[in-house]
Amino acid sequence: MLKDITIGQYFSGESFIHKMDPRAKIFATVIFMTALFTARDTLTYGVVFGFSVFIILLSQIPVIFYLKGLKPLLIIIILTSVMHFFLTPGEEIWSWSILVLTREGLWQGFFMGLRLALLVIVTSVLTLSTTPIALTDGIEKILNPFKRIGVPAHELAMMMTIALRFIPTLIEETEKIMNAQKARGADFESGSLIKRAKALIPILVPLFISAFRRADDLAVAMEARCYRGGENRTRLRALAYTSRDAVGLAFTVALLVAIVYLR
Amino acid sequence: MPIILQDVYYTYQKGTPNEADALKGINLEIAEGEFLGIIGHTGSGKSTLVQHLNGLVLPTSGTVQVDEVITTDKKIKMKDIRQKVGLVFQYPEHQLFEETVEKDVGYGPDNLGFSEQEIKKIVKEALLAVQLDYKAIKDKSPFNLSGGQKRRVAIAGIIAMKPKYLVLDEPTAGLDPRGREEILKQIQKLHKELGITIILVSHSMDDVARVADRLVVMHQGKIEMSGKPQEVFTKRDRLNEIGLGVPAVTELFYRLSEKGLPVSKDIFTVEEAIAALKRELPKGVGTRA
Repeated sequence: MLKDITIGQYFSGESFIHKMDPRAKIFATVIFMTALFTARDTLTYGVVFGFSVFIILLSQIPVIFYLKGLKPLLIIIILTSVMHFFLTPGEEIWSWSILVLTREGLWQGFFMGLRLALLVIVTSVLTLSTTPIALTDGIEKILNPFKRIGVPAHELAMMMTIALRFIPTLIEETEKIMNAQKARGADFESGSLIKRAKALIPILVPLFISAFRRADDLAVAMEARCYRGGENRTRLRALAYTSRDAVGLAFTVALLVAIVYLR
Repeated sequence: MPIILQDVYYTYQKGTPNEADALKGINLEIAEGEFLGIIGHTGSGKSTLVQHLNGLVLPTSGTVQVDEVITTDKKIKMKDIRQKVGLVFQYPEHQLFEETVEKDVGYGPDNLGFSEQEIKKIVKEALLAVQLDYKAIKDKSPFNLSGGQKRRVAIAGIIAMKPKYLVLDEPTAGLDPRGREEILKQIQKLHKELGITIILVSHSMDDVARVADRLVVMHQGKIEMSGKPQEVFTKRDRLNEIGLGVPAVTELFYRLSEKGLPVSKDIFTVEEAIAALKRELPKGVGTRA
């Protein structure tokens, strides 16, 4: 169950997309999202869809990983589509008491569902093909110019790195504690809602204690190595744009231009 | 009735690139009343193996039979197996959560549906079994105890479920020598006095060799060897190869005999070593002039 969480999960690989600079990937994702939200008819959605399929194939990450990321949002996507089906005014094709299904609604709902699904899938291309460390490095670099107006770029990036770094650790810890309590006869799967909520206490208390202990240890370990924030820090792996990033970005910009032109 | 593992295979994260075989065809029978030691390196599959014993992990293929029930059987109640096979995890003190020691130890029996009076009695017995003073400790917060005490409270929490088989995964990890000694002594006592079948998992030969009747050595998801400690330790070279070695005392006697001293090699406690040396060495050696 907990293993289904794909946030911060990295799928190692050697594809074109894997090798792109994280900054370029972040920009490309933003440009893609703009294109996605600009699309509004069959043709433009078709182009965006084709582009997404191409990106997914290019990433060489099994499609199942993208679908897994979609699973938790499935209800929201379906709900949005269904609401559009029945709430868009237009040519009626079927009705039952106050529910009126319209032709326009059908299309609108389909497009909305597609839009949300593509949004999730393409952002997963970014997170699946980039290590969390590279991702936060990229964000830090992008935010750097805003330091002058008081944006704590390095601190934000460090917080994100640490948070992402500890997601798998905390998941593992949670599973361990759940198993330990199950071994003591705990039951998390049956009973009333209140009973189940109560059953979480034996997991949450040890989990919080261990999270605080880890945070403490980490702070001491960082201080022992003279960590003191972003000033004058240099990087082991300095980010550098290559021709690959230019190609990737140009291709994405071309998508946006095409969509704006075609709509 | 024993615990029987037949052809147990277990694969982690099946169907993903991180897929890994943790167990590769384990056949093992654990008899009632036995004191079994399971030794293996980190990643040898020993922790995965013990989680099969109480149904926390179900085999990918093969069967695990605890007394008359098979853990993969859909009709069984998991709680019954969990009660029968008590599993003490590594660093069990990390699972403590209640306000008082008494409540924490009572968590298991409460889940099993014992009445309040019964729980009180059971908790008292369980704390006594790990040699903690019930009156002095019952109202304390488990978080204010020392490391060794916390661990004993956590073990009491499992004993309170009245298991027939008690599995302990690295119960001495992270304790100082005295704490280790105490825990091992208490485990031996549980075995002798309460007749609980003990399955002790460790990577430390020194710990297990002294207390277990039988050893199972795990290596890369398979059972590498099994038998009485004396038998297992005769394969010293192989044990060194897989990075486990023999107890320090045994190693010493191997080296002495290699140097030509006529000493026996199946010795694995300090007491035995002293006795053997007294027998073998010429009179006067080792005594102060």
